[in-house]
Amino acid sequence: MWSAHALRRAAKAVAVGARSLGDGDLDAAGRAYAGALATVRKRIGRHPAAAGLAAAAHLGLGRVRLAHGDFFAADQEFLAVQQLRPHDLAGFHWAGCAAAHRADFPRADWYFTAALARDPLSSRTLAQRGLVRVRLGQPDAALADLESARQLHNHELIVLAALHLRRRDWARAEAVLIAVPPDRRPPAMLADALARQEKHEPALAAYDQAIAAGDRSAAVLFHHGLVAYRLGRYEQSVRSWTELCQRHPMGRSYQGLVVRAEYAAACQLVDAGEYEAALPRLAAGLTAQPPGAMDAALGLLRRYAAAEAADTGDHAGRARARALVADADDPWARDFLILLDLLDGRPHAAEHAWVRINAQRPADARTLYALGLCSAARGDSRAALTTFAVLANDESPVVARRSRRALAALRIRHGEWARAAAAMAPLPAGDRWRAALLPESAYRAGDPDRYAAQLGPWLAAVRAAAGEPTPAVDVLSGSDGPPRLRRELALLVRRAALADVVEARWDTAAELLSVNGIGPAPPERPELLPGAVRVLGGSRSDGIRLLADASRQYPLDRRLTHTLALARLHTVSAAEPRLDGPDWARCVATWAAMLHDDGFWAGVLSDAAGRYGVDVPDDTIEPLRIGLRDLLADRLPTSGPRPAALLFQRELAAAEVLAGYGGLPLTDDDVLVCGPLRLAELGRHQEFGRFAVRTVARLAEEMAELIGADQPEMRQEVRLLVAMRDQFVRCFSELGFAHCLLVADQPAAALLELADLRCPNCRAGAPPAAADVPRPLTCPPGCAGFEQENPAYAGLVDGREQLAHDAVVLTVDALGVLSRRDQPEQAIPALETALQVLTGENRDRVASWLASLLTDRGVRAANANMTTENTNTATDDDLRRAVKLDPHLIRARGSLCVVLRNGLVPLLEQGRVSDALRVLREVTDLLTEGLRLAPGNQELTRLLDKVTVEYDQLSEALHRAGRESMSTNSGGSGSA
Amino acid sequence: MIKDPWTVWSGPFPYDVLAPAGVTPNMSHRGMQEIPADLLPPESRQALEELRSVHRRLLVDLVLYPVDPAAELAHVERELATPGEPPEVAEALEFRPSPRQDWADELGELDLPEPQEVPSYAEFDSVTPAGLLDELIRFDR
Repeated sequence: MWSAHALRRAAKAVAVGARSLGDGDLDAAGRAYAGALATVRKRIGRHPAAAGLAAAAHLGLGRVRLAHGDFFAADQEFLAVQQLRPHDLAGFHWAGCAAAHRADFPRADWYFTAALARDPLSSRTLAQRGLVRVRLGQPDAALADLESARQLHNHELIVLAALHLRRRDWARAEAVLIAVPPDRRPPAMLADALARQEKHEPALAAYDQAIAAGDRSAAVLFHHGLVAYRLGRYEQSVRSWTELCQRHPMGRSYQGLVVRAEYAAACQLVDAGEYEAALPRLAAGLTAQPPGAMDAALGLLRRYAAAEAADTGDHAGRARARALVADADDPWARDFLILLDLLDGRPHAAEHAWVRINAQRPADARTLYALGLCSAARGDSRAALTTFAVLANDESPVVARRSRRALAALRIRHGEWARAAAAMAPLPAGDRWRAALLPESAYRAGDPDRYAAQLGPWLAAVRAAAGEPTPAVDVLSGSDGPPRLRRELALLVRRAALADVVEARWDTAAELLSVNGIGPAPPERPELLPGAVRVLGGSRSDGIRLLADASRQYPLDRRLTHTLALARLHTVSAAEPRLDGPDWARCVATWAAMLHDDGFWAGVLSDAAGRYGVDVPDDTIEPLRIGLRDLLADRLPTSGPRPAALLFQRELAAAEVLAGYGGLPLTDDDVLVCGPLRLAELGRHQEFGRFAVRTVARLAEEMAELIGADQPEMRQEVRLLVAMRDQFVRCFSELGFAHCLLVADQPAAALLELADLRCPNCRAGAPPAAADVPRPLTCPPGCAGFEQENPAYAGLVDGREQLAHDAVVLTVDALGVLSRRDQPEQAIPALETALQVLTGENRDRVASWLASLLTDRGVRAANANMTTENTNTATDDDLRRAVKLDPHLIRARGSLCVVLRNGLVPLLEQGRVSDALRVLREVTDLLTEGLRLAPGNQELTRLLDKVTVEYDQLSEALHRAGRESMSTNSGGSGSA
Repeated sequence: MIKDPWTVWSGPFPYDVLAPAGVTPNMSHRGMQEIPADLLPPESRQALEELRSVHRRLLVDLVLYPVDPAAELAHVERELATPGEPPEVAEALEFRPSPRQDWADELGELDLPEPQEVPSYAEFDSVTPAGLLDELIRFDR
């Protein structure tokens, strides 16, 4: 009992000791462990748990001693653990640590080995033995231990990486270092591992990081410069190696590195053509050379730097150039300095300088060459030619070459291509100037056989000129060839094509005209002639498509529009039978676009004046416009629901209105004038929609100002503005057809147009709308055809509603016109249509009107029937509809009753007494209803009296006949 | 100007009728007036009357394609005859610094020897500081 209590106390003390040790409170840990030990010591061997607790207490005490640096005392404790727990690793492991702290590495190695014999996988023991073996100078064994450990602390990983680096195992070193968190990793070691594997970019970044972190050791600076050098970043090499020289005790011995980097930087700049920048680098890079050894290279680079500075073309550049060669004493530098004077705007000083030198050294070829150029500049070609002809064979290759070029150039300037070719032929084959000009000169010399070897790519031009365009076409189809050659080939091919056109060889002409890049110079459109030629050559639809595409792209090119209009007109009007259809629609749209376009007429007059040689006055336009309009109108199909003739009317009206508003601006200085069909073809309907919004808003502003002025005399102007707005909006929409018919005094036809305002696609695609669907019919929301057909409403959120509203207004207008006509037969269907469109009071008025017209027609037909003794139910229908439309119309009601009553006689003659009674009942009802609506009406009263009598008589007769029939039932059936 | 063979015209087309007399759309108004009408057959006289009126002739002209291959041909011939001057001509006759491509020839060949490889230095073989391991080798306590 007592023993168990003591053991629990000891176990608790061991736990307290472990906790205190973990917290770093060594004194508390020591006390706890000592207490535990005192408690259990006597019970070792007497209680099975006592030895374990004692071992734990000894181990804890040992670690406390170890932490205090009392390694021998610690060792005693660990020895006790080994005795108490001989199979446990702990006593041996910690004894190894104590030995390692005492720097007794062989003993430590023995203990760790003993520990591993008890637990071969102990990661900490492997790591500790690995470190001990580093100390023992056994790197391979150390590497094996550290690699075997499953887990290492960061500092142990770095030791492992260092061992790999020492073995030059760069990839493993990199892999180990990558496993260390970046903030704990030594960047220089990683940089070294990367650089040794020639991963220069990341290596340079790692070295940059090392330097930024303050690692400016000589090795790091050297390797940083080295990696940068290998990457061609010589500036960085110079910087690092210069610092190396400054920081290293033996700094001067590394100066060669800096010089080497400076030289490499100079070479790099020279390769890049940056000679001025290279100059100081080369000077620094040659310091290690014996004095004078590289003077020639420096002098040469100075020339290049001067030439580069002068090449900037500004005064500052020439000033730098002058400074660079000011001290040079050679003919090139002398000429160069004079040239700089000349370029600085002192030509006379320059020429005087050359004259002076020439006087001193008459045979100096460079001076003579310069004087030759002076002669050419003055226009003294003869003197220049003489000079260059002599110098062309000068012993100085530079002078000879430049003189030959100048000689040939003068010949070309005089159009003497053969002499030019002869002058440049002796130039070296690789001469840039010769390569550029000799083939052209050979071609233009006009003797292809003689210069066959020099023609090069210009052979294609020779062959094209001789009537073989294929090689030229091949060149033009590609993107190679100098611009002058391409120009010549394009002209030659175009000439061949035009010759074919003139000779009406359409197919070959069309083929040649399709060659890329042979088109005429702007502003002429390259598609114009090919399009026309295709039409003429029989590929009419292709030609028209080509012209239409081009016209869509360049809608303001009037010649293109005119050609397209003609192609369409000739094509559709020659076709038999002359059917209406989309081709006609496009044809009239294109023509209408021209007839009211001032830009078109300006071109026509100017062209005519040029050809006729006389002034063509502006007043020629109007009769011509009418002539062309009539010419077209005479050919247009006029039948069908919406014939081309009507399309043409609306398109013309729209174009005229648009012209009145100055046209639709497409560019800063030109406008498009056309109708809605053409707008849709050009894809400009939405642009027009925005223009229409601006235009209508402007008109509204003007109206508001007039209304605000509140002057009665302004009312007329307001009405005018409203009419202008209505005309503008109607013409550029489906309302335009009704508008044109109304203007043409056809109000009934106009009304018929107003019930269905859908685009052609919606009309064609949808089934016929039911009678009770509200009119006017419009396209569904989102229909693309709506904006094309109604550009005046394009872009408006409520465009469809506005169109319907404006249709009602136009309907009322048309009814107004119709009311002044005496055309009942035509008016009836129109009024039926209007009835569908209108609502409210307007509808009631139209219904009365329609009822009246129907009554007139019904009565007229009834009278005719009476004379011809015909029966016609259509007569009844008119009158019935009239009564339904206007129940108050006594004339309709009375007439219907009379007509129905007149039909009784034939019924009775046929013995149809029941039918006759039904008719009389209907008439009685009609009359009763009429008298309710018009109490006391004499005509109806009189008629009702008659009908009542007739009904009673007939009814009585029927009853009588019925009774007789029943009494003589057995006598067979009788007839009424 | 070219006439479409499908042209629909009321009556014979005036230019077709007068083609034997050398009349073309490019003929001047004056030239048209100078054609002796009395030498023409009767059916041609009406055509001539049509073309002698500026207004009526213009209406005829407006149904012809506004392309003039003959005039364009003449234009192309003129273009071919005036090729202009290649830019290299002025270059050869002007005072100007030599272009870059000529520098090698005119200034001399600038041919610097290739930079040398950097020698290795035994003292820089390792970037790992000598004392690093001493710092890093730590035993458990």
